[in-house]
Amino acid sequence: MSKYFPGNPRPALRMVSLELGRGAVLALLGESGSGKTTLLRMVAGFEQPTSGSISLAGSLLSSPQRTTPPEERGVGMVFQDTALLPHLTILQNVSFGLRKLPERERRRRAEQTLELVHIADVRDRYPHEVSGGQAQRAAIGRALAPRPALLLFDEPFNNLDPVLKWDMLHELRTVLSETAATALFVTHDRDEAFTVADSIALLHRGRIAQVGDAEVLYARPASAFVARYLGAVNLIPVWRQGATWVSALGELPVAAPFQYAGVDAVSVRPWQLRIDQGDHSPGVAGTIEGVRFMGEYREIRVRMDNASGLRDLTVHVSALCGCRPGSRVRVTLAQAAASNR
Amino acid sequence: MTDFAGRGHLVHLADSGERVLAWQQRLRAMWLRTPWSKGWRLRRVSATAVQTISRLWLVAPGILAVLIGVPLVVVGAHLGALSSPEVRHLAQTVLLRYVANTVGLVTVVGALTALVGVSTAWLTTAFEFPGRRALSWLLVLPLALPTYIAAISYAGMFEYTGPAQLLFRRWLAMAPGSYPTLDVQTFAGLSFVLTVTLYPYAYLTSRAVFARQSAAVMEIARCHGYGVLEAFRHAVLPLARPGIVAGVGLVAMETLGEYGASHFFGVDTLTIGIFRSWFALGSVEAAVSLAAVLLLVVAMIMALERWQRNRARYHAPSVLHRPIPRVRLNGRNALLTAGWCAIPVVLGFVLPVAQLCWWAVDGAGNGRAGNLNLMRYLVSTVGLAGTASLAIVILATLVAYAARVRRGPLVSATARLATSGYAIPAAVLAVGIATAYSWVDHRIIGASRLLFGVSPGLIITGTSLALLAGYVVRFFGVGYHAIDSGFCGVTNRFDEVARSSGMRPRHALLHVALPGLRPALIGAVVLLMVDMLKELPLTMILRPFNLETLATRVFRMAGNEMMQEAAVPALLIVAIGMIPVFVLQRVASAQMKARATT
Repeated sequence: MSKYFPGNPRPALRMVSLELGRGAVLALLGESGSGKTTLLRMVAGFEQPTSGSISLAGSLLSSPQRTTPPEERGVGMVFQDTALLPHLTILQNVSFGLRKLPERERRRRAEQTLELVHIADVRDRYPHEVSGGQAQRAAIGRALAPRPALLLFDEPFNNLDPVLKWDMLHELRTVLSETAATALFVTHDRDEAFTVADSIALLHRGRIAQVGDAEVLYARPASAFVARYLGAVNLIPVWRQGATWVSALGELPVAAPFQYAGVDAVSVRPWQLRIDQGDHSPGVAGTIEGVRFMGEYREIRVRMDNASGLRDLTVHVSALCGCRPGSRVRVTLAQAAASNR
Repeated sequence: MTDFAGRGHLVHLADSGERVLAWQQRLRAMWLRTPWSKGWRLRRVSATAVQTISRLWLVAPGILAVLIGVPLVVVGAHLGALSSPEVRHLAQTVLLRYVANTVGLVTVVGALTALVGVSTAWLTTAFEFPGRRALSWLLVLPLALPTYIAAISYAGMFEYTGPAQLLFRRWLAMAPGSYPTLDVQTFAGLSFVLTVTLYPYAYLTSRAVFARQSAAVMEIARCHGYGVLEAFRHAVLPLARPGIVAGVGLVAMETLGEYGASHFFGVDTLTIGIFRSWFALGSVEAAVSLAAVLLLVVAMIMALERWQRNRARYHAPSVLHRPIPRVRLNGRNALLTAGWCAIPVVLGFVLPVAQLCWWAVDGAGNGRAGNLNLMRYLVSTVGLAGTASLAIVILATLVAYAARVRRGPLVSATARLATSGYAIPAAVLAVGIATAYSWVDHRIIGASRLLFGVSPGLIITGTSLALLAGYVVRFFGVGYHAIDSGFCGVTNRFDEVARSSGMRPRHALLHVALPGLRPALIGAVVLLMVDMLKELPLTMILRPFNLETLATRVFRMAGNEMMQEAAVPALLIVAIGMIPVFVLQRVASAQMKARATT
């Protein structure tokens, strides 16, 4: 489907097509302005597609002709700001979507949900009386409680501090698998997407750059954009030699390279390269330009000799490496790189 | 940026967040602030400034505290003396009727203004329809029309010689008595007139909270199974409640203090009772006792508001704010919506003003509107209002600055007391002031007789001094909040610039802050003068015998059934009252443009 906003000739989304299996969690990953939130809001029913359609469990929700109003979709949503209703207690907030149930069932379901998201102890407090994490848990509980066919998350942890955010992400992952919920999770953060989702759809300027398993996107990106978005990367030119693709670093068992700067290229992650000191080691020669201490590893920038046809490479090595700027090294593909493809 | 914060005009309530903030500050003053209101105006100024200025400037809030405290104590003291024979007599005769009428009127008018104000505010916020932009500010216009003038108009419209009955007699050629007539001079009629003139308070406060509300509120409810109307009822409306309650609270205060319209329509409220005891019965004791009862009603309304607020908070701690998107309406829905929003404007402004114009033209035709001595009343009115406004602006600047320099509980308490003047019904204030100052006057006379053997006369109550004091007390809050929000705009930078460039705070205030404050100061003067020009009950009680303002002139002429003589000064008051409404519109649209370009 596509979405044009009035007064803007560039579509917010063009020719986007996604499918989500029951019980699956898909992350919509992308920069701000990539159309991920628009896509989510269309699924929720707050926006209408210009062309194309949205169906949930076999029933048509949206099409340019007709649209099911948000309240009839059976879709739950967690917003960027917690957006708890400040005049209701935590319990009342969690029960907010349950009012059509009989009193006893509503009570039971709300209690159950409070337990599920670990906020039973603050049920009678008002949103301003609980911590940010508890508020966000309540917001998730509120969306979960009616057991919607589909859950939507719009960057829900943006305003939490990093430590809390990771706790919440892991917790959310557990809750989602416990409840076997189907969910769309919008985020701009790769690590959030990795943590919470089974598969990822990476959006770029209103198009889907690539969709698939998180590991596939990481290891076999379909474009330079995808390769870069999912982490530090070396884009290495390759050429065909018989049945295989070959690079300056040697043979690469890659299925399909992508176009980058006019040539075929593949992505090689910094940890997939190895450096050795001394002129007689195997590999391509270069000079260390910079070393950055990163905690678990050191990030080394190597200026490759002109003859190699490569420019700068980034290599991650163990923190114990004694590399110094200016020293001569040789770069090779680590064994893992070859087997990973 | 100019911030106009007028009691009668709420000019600062255009949609921006700053305006909402200014509004909150005013409400806090009115509703005896809540604990979380602390720390909204605190700015650091260097220690030397604190020492040199604060002591001196504490005098200003002190003066005000005395000015407002004395009449309050005088009236409040009578709460304890409610067992005197005079009060017992009141209780046996009229008190019940007064209280019943007052409470009934506040309830009915409160409910109706809430209905009109909230519905129009929501429709102009959430929907797009032809005429929406114009209507969204036309809806404020009835604020320019004081209740007593609207009452005069409506009374005239439906009387025997009024256009309604003329329509039947002249154009439909029906005989008197054969056509239906409408007696508006009843409780229902008064409720109607007060509703159509006072609903803008509810409209403005509701519009402000709706503008502040994020679109997310509606969306949350929608994706939890609530339809549009249910979502409005269960999420949007509860969140807007403090704003609505605040607006209705203002309506309640205005209704409690209302004198002119109740008088014309013959509804005996507590305020009417105070006037009757004071003037007709000449019983100071009864008037003050009734004032004490009225004060009790005010206190009860405030307590009710605080109680309903309870522990819940109503402003969502939202980081992101997406304004509510306007849904475009077409065809019949657009017509109905525009019609609904236009009705209050027609009833609250167009019709009564048309009636006034008709009288004025009629009067000009038969010469009765000729010798009006308009200039004389205008000069005396403007003189009085100007003097009081100037006094308020100077005092308010000092108090606002003192509140920033010295944050102690004493200063904030006095500032709070000083700004609570407009929460007190004018009649109560007037009775308190008159009683207190006549006591002072008589002590002065006694002392003077003893020392010099001559009587200087009533120095305060016999001159305009008492009235000026009354104006200062009643309208101080209006000026204070206009200037205080002005300070909010300049102090931050003013402090930092002053300190980092080595300027002495005194100089910085003079050369940096005051120029920045100028729009706020001018705005405050305009608002204050307009408010005072319209003021009736306070003026009626506190004015010296020979003094007549435009408002009292209108009231007396209308009371003598001299409508054509009353019409021209009334129109003048309306025209002046429209100034802030237009300023509001200009400020709002300028801000809209500024926002569109950023």
